[in-house]
Amino acid sequence: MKPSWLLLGLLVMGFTSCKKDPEDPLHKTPSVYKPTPVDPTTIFPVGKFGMPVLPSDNPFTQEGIYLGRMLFYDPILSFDSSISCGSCHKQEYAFAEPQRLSKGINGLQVGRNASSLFNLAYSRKFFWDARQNTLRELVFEPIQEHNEMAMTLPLLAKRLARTDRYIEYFDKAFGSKPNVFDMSKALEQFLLTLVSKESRFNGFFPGKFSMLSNDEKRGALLFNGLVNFDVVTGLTTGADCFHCHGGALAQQNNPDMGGIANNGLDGNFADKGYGAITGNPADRGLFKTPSLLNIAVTGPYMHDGRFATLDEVIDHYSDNVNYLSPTISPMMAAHGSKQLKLTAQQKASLKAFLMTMTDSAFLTNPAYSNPFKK
Amino acid sequence: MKKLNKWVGMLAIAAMAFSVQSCEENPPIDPPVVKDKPGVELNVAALWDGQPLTFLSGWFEQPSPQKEYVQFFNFGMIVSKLRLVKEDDTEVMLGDGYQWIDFKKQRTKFNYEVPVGKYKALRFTLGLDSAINHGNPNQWGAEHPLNGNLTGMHWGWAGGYIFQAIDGNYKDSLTDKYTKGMSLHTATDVMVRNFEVPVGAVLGAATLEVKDKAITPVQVNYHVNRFLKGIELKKNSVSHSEGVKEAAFMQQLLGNLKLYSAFEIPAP
Repeated sequence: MKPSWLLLGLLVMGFTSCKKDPEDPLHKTPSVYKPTPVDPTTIFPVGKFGMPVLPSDNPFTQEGIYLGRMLFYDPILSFDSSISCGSCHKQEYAFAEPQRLSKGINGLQVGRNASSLFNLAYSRKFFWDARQNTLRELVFEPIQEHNEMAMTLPLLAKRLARTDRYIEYFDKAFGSKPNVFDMSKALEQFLLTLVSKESRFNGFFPGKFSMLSNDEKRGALLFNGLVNFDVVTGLTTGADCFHCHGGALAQQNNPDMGGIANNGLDGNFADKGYGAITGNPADRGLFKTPSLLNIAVTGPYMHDGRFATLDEVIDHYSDNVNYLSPTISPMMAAHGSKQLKLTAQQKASLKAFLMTMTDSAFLTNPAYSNPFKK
Repeated sequence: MKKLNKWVGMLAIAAMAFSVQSCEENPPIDPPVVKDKPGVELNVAALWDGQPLTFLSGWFEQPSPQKEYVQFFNFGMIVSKLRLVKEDDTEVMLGDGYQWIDFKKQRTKFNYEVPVGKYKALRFTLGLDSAINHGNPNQWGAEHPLNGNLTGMHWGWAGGYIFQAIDGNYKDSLTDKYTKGMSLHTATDVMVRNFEVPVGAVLGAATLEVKDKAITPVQVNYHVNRFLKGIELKKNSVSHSEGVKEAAFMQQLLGNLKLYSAFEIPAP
């Protein structure tokens, strides 16, 4: 080979070797990629809940949210294409489901109760055992778990890449070909938009008592009252629910202020919860404290779905808290190890108050529904 | 011809080098850190008998006669009007004056720009003015210290912030099989307290000098054992600052903060 040809070849290589691989799924095509931005203040009720901390590298777009919604309801995300995220997280149940434990592909049982999904933008820990910090990371777990969707990411990437609607929507949302990284960002966008804000509770919170019935008012006072046993009647005037389920979100988002807690279910822990994640014995039996919004429709309750009804939940906190549980929340232990022993009337009032937290508009909002169902 | 081949060879090497190097798209170069403004770094530490407070590990002994043992689960504070005091007694507000300190999360270091000079004390309010305390907690930005969702330091229903939350457990003796809860929540307008913490043991005895183009560390120690000094937890381990008994207990605890100089800035 003549030296001049060698030189020319090397120069050509020098100028062309940086050209992006057209097969790279993250290769952008800016001429097509013009997503429509969505202002977060149109999603979140800033006056009621405040503005959440949002991922700075995943701004909301109409296309991204819609792509996430399609993915959420698409069974091709499971190995045998039999179930989707929406199979266990049903909108009419505030994205929980009325099963003690959910079932994955081939009827395999999942170890914990399906959590409800809403107002996730205000949470900083996810899953019952609080093992994930972002929704983007979270979505990969059920997709890959053997007893949930049992999918592999390479296979999923291939499936997405040969599906026309995803070729179109990944391009529109991210300027990319279908890939699992942008899939997780699209799902994150959709999940963050699940905002429940229209319950009666959120209408009168924090102090418009006049909007409550007398029974609901009594329940509100119990819910927001400190445990205090009357010396004459022996009854408590407060049930102290608000420490862990307070505020407009009916949830404590600071993990150390009751956001992750042992609520006295067990003395020995078959499921160590957060303790299995941290390895710290002091965290055994701690689980993420759920929001009580929509609580009427999210049963069965607790991480293992042990309580079928709201009445059983109230009975637990009234009569059956295991104060000898070694890691019980200090805020509960501070009650003096005494059962609240609420009367039947008090329990009914508390339940009446909890029923005001149901957000029917959220449960039927078409923006969150299955886009494949016409 | 030999000379030409030599040049071709050199060009080829250059082209190869170019082909390899040019693939790196704008390699990130961290700008050199140049601190062009004077500032301070506040470092707040929770201590028990001079040792760092730990959470959910180990038991801290209350001195005699109580001989009780305390374990901490959570420890947060909301302060306002955080400011440094110059030698001539003029004050410099640090940021907007609000801060959320969380010892468990180690949210304890805060940087502020302040003018060059000598400072003799730190002043702050544990708690908030009534208007802010009872204002809408949602008016604050997502990462502002007064955002209740961020801190968890807001009682939504009662309408007000928790100025200091200390939760944990205690035992009468280390051989006790079971623990008892401790929950000390400072709140309500009447529990707001102002503090002046001198640099060194006495006001005016020492100063911190902030120089141009430099960060001056300001170590603030919170001696938590002094907050609990003389407290028998088996008699009182819970206060939410409301009700006659719990309010009186909280007043006693807050009194300890000043009585036993729980806050301290060691002389440099």
